[in-house]
Amino acid sequence: MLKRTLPTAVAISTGILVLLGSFLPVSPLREVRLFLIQWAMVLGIFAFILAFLHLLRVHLIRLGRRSKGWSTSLLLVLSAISVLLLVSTQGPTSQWSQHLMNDFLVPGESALLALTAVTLVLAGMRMLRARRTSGSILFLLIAVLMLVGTVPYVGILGEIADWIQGVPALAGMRGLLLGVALGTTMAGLRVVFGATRPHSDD
Amino acid sequence: MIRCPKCNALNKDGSSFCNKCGSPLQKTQIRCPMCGTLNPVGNLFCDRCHARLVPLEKVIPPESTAEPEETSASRVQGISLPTRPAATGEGAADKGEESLNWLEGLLKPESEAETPPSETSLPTAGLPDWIADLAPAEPEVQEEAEAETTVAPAELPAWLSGLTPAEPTEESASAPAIPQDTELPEWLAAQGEEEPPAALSTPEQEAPPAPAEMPAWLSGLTPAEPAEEAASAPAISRDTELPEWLTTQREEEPSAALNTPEQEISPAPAEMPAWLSGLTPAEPAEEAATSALDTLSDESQKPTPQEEVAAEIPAWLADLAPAGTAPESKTVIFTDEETTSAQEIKTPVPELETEKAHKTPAWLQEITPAPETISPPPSVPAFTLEEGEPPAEETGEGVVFLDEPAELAEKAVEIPDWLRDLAPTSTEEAPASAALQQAEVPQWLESLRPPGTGPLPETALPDTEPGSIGEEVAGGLIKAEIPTWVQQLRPDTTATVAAPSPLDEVATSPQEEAGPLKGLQGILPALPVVDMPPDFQPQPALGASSQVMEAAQLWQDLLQHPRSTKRPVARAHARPGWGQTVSRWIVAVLLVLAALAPILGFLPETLAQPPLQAGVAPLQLAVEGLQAGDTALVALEYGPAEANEMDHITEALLTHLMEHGVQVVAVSTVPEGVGLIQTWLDWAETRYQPAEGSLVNGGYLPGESNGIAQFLGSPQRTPKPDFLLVLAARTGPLRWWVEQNAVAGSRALPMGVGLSASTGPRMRPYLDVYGVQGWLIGLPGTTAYWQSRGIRPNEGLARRLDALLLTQWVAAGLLLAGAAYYLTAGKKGAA
Amino acid sequence: MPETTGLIIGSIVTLLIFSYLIGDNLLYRWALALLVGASTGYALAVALHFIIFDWVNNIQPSDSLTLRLYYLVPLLLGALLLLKGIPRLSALGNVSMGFMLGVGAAVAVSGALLGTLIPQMQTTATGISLKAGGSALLNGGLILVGTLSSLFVFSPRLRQADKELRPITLWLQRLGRAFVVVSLAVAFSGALTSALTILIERLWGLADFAQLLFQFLSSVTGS
Repeated sequence: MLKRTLPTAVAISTGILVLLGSFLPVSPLREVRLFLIQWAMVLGIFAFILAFLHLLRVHLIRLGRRSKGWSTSLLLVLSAISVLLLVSTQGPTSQWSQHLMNDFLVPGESALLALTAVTLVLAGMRMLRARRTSGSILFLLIAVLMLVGTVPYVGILGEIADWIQGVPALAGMRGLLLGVALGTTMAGLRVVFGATRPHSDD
Repeated sequence: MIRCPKCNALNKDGSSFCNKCGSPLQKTQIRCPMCGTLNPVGNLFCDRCHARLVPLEKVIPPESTAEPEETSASRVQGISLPTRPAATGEGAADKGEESLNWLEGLLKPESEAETPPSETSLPTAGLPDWIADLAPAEPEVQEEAEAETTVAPAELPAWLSGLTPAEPTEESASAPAIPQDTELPEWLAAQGEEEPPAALSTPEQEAPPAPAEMPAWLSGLTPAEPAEEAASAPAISRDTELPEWLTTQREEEPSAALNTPEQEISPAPAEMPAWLSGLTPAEPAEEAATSALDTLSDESQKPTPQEEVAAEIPAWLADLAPAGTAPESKTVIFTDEETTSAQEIKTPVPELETEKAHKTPAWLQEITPAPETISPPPSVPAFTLEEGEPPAEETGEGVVFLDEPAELAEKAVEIPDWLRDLAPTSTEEAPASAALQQAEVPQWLESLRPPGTGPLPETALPDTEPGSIGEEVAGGLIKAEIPTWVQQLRPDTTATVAAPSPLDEVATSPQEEAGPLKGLQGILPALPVVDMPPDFQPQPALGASSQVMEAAQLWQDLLQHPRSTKRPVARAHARPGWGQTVSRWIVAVLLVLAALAPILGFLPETLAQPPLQAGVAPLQLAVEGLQAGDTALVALEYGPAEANEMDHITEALLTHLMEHGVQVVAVSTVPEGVGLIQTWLDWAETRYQPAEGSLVNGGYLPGESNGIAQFLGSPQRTPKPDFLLVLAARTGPLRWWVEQNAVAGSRALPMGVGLSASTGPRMRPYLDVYGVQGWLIGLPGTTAYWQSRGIRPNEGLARRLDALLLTQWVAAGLLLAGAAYYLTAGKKGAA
Repeated sequence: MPETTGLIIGSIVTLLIFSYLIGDNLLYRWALALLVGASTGYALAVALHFIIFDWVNNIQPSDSLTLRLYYLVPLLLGALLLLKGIPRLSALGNVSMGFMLGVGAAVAVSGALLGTLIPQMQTTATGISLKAGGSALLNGGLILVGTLSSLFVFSPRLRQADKELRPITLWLQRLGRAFVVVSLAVAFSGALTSALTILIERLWGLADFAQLLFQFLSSVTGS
């Protein structure tokens, strides 16, 4: 019973306290909310530590079995451990960490994102191959208009792009965001009131 | 489960050795090698599939294999009836004909012959009860029965086993002792005490059948009272039970043949059944022969001269007066001592061994040959033999043969007149094949033939026509006759001719040529596990979903795929086709060329016009409104990947803030943002050399929205920020900042937002809410921000903007080209 | 010099990543593994730095028991959370998970309600303003119609294919679908613009590297 009830009781109690502190910013509730949130921040770091350890475990197993791609796993493990040691000992704001960030991480990850430009163009070119509907044609037209209007060569194109982005795109995106917010609210309330228990094993 | 007698461990049924200590186990069950069914140990054939459980060499005693006739005549008697080795005495010579003689057992075994297999000599330990019961009760009875024809009690069907005499008594010296009451049917037992019917005595007493096993149609023949009056001649029956033709014989004196020196087959008159009691001494033998005969009828039987039957015929026999019709099926006659009598009365009684002492009642002795002339037949039941076919290579086990008693021919068999009269008068009444019929098995008995048995060889059958009674047919067999009244008792076989029994099919099936089942018949061929017709369409199960059906169909298609054909192997990494690779190269090359042209200075002038963004001016005004000494909280919410794009935005805004003397506190909910923050703070410190403490690296805010909520909700935070500038390339951090800033309520901060080109359109609804002062999106927004400040963008920024313009135009063109291609090409364009 | 070194290293990494355009190869995967490992290690190092220097370091020997518990209890909960990686002991981390999820859910709910739903509805409503003029009114009306129709697109009842919809409902759904398509197309173009911007930046760096290399070769060859 303790295994099942205690986590749920903790989740419900903390959730209600934080909600009350958010909607009723009176003195005790506000402080309780703040220190509960602070504890959750620390727990978030331990969750990140757990994710890192799991990543190492997966790749160490692959390395131990010498399965396919073991060299890649070796490089990943080596780089992770070496950077962890370097930044932990030197600090995130040290010179070595800065060089690591500016000279290695930024160019590398930027190059990965730059590759998506080619992929996106190819995907847009093949869009009508899969679906030849009015929605697909409208999608392509709007995309083309936005592409030529974001950095306008002709002023009218910029105005059109701005209007598209400010009115119809805004309306559609607002509807989507409202739906996301409603779903987030319902899911959060289910967790707070114990209807959903993702933290338990049952 | 079998418990080990040594270590008391439990073992599986059918185990030969204990799994724990290894000691041999007494088998309580035998597993069938064909179907795997566990059968009692005493079974020779499986109760389920009728396969042989015990090899032939284990069943047949060694001495029984000496006789070739026995070897060839050994037959499996019943479907699941175990067989017993044929009790072949030394006098059992000449067993040419493989006819069945169910009365063989009534004949005394040879005196000099080996002790007939007695009850104790037979392995009765593992035999079923009904076989064990057939064993003789008294050994001395068995010894005296040596002269009798040895008939394996196991050979006899149950309903016939009661006819076998249990013990040859001392009285049988003159007359064959009637077997014990437990061995003989009542009607014979009654006359067996003084004059045991010779035909009923059997040399083998190991398994005297119980009287209760007499079939119903013969049970009526049992005498109500022992024929004690048959002292000189077997008292066959009372006058009232005799048929007319027998009653006429009653007045005749018993023939000398009936009063054999052995006198062992002269039944006591008192033991004779009532219907036999009226018969003369010469008649009992005949009656015994006829009554001891089974329902088997013989075509060679002469029509009963009904007109000669005595007046005192029992009603039940009067009704059964022979109609003069010859039996349709062929018959085999079981004879024993009856043959002795037959010899004496010169009746064509089937050959029986007379060498052995037969315990036949007197009334049967008249019509049976002398025991010494009759050799004990092999233990092959006659009904298991088909006409004209020799038995299989089985050695004789429990099969009664109608041997050719060579000795029979030597001795003259005095046939009483009343039996002579029974000889067929016309040829049509005695068909030419009558002699053969005595060895022929009736159809109704044929159906009971167990698998693996064949008909009697024709050579074994007498090929002479059924002629006169007492005539020796080919092969030394004495023609036997079955009275018509007995033939009429034969079950109607007309209806059974139509459909062949399964046993027929088994019997006619080919034998296995090799392997452990060699020699066996009726083995099912190996069929495929799944034998479906080619056009079989599996019906979907009720309630099966379409996904289940698709999966099942896929499985079926995969299973039907022949192994010989090469199957495509899925690659771990799917390689794109050449078309995709070429198109990728073309797009990459075009984009790179479009980007490099402005970068390398190939464009004479800038192409891009000042972009329009509605939020740029308010943002510029909001930052412009900050005073020196105010604190701006800068949330740097992007990572190394977006740094190349966001650096321009950060530079533009940070420059504006620094130029206004605003203190900057930078935080980030992205771990890598700490390093980027430090890079910008170092840049700002190097470029603007602000006052100490103007640039603060707030560090990492863990917990995402929790960290923002805690940071914004902390009341003691100093310095208290005046402006919140969110520089985000991800949607989440912007949303969190906007939401938590709204939750702060009265302490909400005025916000300025700088977004990447990818985040801007998605977060556009948040840019119009209350609290967001202004915003700019991407590189165009940065250019517009510089222009709104009245500052001309630097050359690098201009080139980058031109490059962006060109690349976006190239991308738009490529999109249109692809759309046009797939619209016009139709489905052919689908690669 | 450090800048040159950084330029060289960055260019090499960029070229390794761009080699994917030719085809998936081992160099690309190695570069990717190095990047992922370095990024993960850097992030964990920053997180540990916070725990050590911004949390544990705040505990003073003179602090009271309450204050110490205030700093130690989340560390204990965090340690229990780490047991989730061991299957047999994972049940012990459920309390920490429950705490984290309860607080996170409450924060998300409060933020969604107060930061998204209410402001967005408020902004949509204030968009229709007669004072702003015709075009603003038109745009506001269009935004209102688009927002409501976009919400109907994701309504479970209206998405039932077998259910017959009324014409107005059908047209409203089609209209909402059109607004959603437009917003997605704008998002697509924005993502492409961002990627192209980064591509330009990388090519600029490669151009600098090429220039540097050309200068180096020129200095070496003496031409």
